Amino acid sequence: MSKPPTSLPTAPHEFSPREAPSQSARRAADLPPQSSTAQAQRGTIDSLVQASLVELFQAYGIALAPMPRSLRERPPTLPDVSAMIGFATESRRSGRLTLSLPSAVIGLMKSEAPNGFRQGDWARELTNQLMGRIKNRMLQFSVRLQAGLPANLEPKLLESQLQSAPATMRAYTGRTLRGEVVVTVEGMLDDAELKYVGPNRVASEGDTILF
Amino acid sequence: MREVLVVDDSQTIRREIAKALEPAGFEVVEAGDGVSGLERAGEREFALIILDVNMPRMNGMEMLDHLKADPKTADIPVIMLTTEAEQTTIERARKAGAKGWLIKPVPMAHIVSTVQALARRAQA
Repeated sequence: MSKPPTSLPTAPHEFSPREAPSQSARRAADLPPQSSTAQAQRGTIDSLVQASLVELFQAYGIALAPMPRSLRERPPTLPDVSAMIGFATESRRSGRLTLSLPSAVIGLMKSEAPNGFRQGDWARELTNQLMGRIKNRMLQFSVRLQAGLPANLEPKLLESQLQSAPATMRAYTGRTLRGEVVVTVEGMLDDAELKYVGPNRVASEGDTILF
Repeated sequence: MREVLVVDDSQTIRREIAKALEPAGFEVVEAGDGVSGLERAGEREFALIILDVNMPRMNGMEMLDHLKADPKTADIPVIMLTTEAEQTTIERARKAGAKGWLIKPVPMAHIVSTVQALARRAQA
């Protein structure tokens, strides 16, 4: 019986040597054409981050379509407002998640048109909530992430930081009617390190528990 | 008018909760972290406290412990409002004396009905 696809090739052209050529050719035919930005197949972490992002924006009434995850070849161009949050695993590995979104999307989410300060405040809160969703979903792999406090970042500064980011940095883009939302994740575990242990008695976003 | 203390590091969240609770007959006092939240909690007789977990200076779980350890604030019902959803953390808050756990994002109408229910329960 074949192993569940927790560890997928990192790029469309990386095929297992054990695979028959005809299978490789068939899989290659199923893949979208290569763009200038290398594209990766969607793995467990990708699914988890993208699903968390889509659900978070959906909760605030924004439809967001996730684009294929891109490997770092060049840093993405970032929208106006950015925030970041650090995280650490139990094995003391640390990482960072950033969320950048256009002011126009914030305007759609908030009934009152937020000013600069309020936009930054809301970007921090959304980053915190995105981290929370990812953290809760990682529990099904017995991974406990410790999140720090969110902070705002100048998009230009973040763009320059991303130029020197490690090659393992993941960048995700989601399209909305008012522009693109960009998420980057550095220092996250690899798919191969995840082992599904089943649902971890986690409550869901929006739940109310009265004691 | 019954007073509710909202402790959350997001001003947007605090304002939205205030905007939702005020028409329901609550006056809202705001604090942006656990330290200032604790100071505010001792200043008046609050009907209820809504408390975020992940905050600077003092997090919500620590603030909850301080509130319950002080006889002056121990009886104020506390609802945690957070992104945290792990059962062990929720259980820890229950044992520490919290009355409820709301997982963000929560519709404001839901927050209002929960606050009303718990404030009524505390009065009875």
